[in-house]
Amino acid sequence: MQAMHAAANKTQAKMPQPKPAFVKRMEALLGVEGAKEFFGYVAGQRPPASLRCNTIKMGPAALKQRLEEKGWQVSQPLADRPEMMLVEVDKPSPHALGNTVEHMLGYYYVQGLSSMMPVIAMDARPGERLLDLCAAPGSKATQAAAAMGNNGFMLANDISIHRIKALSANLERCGVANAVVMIRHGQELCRLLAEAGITFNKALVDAPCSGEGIAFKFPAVLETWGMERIRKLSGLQKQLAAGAAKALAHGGEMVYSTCTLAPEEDEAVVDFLVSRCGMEAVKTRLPLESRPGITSWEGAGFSEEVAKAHRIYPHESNSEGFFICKLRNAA
Amino acid sequence: MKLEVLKGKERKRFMERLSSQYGIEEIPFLLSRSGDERIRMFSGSLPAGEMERISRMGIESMGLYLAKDQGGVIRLSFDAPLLLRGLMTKNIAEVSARQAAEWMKGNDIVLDGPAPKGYVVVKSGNDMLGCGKSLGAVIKNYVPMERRIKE
Repeated sequence: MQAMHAAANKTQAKMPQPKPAFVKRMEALLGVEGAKEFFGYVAGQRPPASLRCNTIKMGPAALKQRLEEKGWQVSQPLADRPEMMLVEVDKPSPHALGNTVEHMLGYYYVQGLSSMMPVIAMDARPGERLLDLCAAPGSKATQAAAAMGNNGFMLANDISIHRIKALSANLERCGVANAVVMIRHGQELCRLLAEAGITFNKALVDAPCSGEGIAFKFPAVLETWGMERIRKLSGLQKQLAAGAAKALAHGGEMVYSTCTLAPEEDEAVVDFLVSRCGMEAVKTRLPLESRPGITSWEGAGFSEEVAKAHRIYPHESNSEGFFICKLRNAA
Repeated sequence: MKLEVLKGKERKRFMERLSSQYGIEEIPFLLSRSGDERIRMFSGSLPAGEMERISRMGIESMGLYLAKDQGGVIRLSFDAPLLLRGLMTKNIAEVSARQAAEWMKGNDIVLDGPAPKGYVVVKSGNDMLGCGKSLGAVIKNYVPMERRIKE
């Protein structure tokens, strides 16, 4: 425990100051007090360690027993989601969770609770066809494969060989046998799929983003933060999401998610999908505390549909910040 | 990756070797060759025409790495035994928890008594720990580097 506090203090000492424009935007989203709580969390708090039982290889009850036999304290915060576990390990270190036999055998995946929400929203089922457009390093792809019962068909794609190596390693470790892995720019892949007449029931676009929701884990987010970057990312995210929308069969469903809180990368993309791509937002319930999507930002209004999205804030959920919206192809 | 689905006689020969070495009578999944020696298994379902069209787009991999076929001798991958555990009946080496711990660090296992030579699946309790090569008194370690427990 002392080692954990020392590590947190070290990180706190190194944490850059957020830029004034970032603070102003969070105050507009959360109010002055809410923004203080948010940045206080970023500066000094860490969510509890969490993992997801990989049900392809082991059931939650058996995993819980295995981990408790190692001396870990394991809790399952949600009764109807026993695969989601919070853990306190016996030997705290940054790598303790990843350096166990159980991890090496693929019995669990170290994953934040918020990060599990996009696949829960997507509700992938056995026999379905799923496109995971930005799949690396594979937390959601492996989660989706488990939900699909390792059958149906999953196309897991990412843009670079470096990222694909991590994805492939995690797919192998978790015993995922229903996936085809590709290395393509997402937009190009969607164009090829459309030309080949290949469509999907479900799509997941967990888009590259500015990472505001995970600044507590990655201090570099605060250093690289800037509006130019946010605007550029927003353009890319719209391209990726629009491509995925075209790859859906009629009535197919997509989950768009990011780990940022910038409305340009979140609600603006959903608004774009709704107003330009024939998509409609779907109301979903998530088992973590969240706020609805905002319907206006800096003078621009968004479709009322975006209110069906979820904003998860780290200081409210005690997990990573996330934005999640489920949409259906109504075209 | 060029997709080469194992069909007809080639699949039959491979399955005969799997049966002979590990007692696996059938695998209800699509099998494909990746490179010269690696066999992968795909548990998904995709119509043949779509598989052909997707394959032409250039795929990095399909399914899970199942085994290395080294001129008729099959070494199962680290992950295959767990997914195929109910189908295997032969060449399974049961080891103690202490031996399993050493195995997962990348060390060879010294056996308590002589054992048949050749590839064996290493098992400890309910854990399937991949394949090793029995030399009679020792099982040589094949746990991939990235899956070994670090001290």
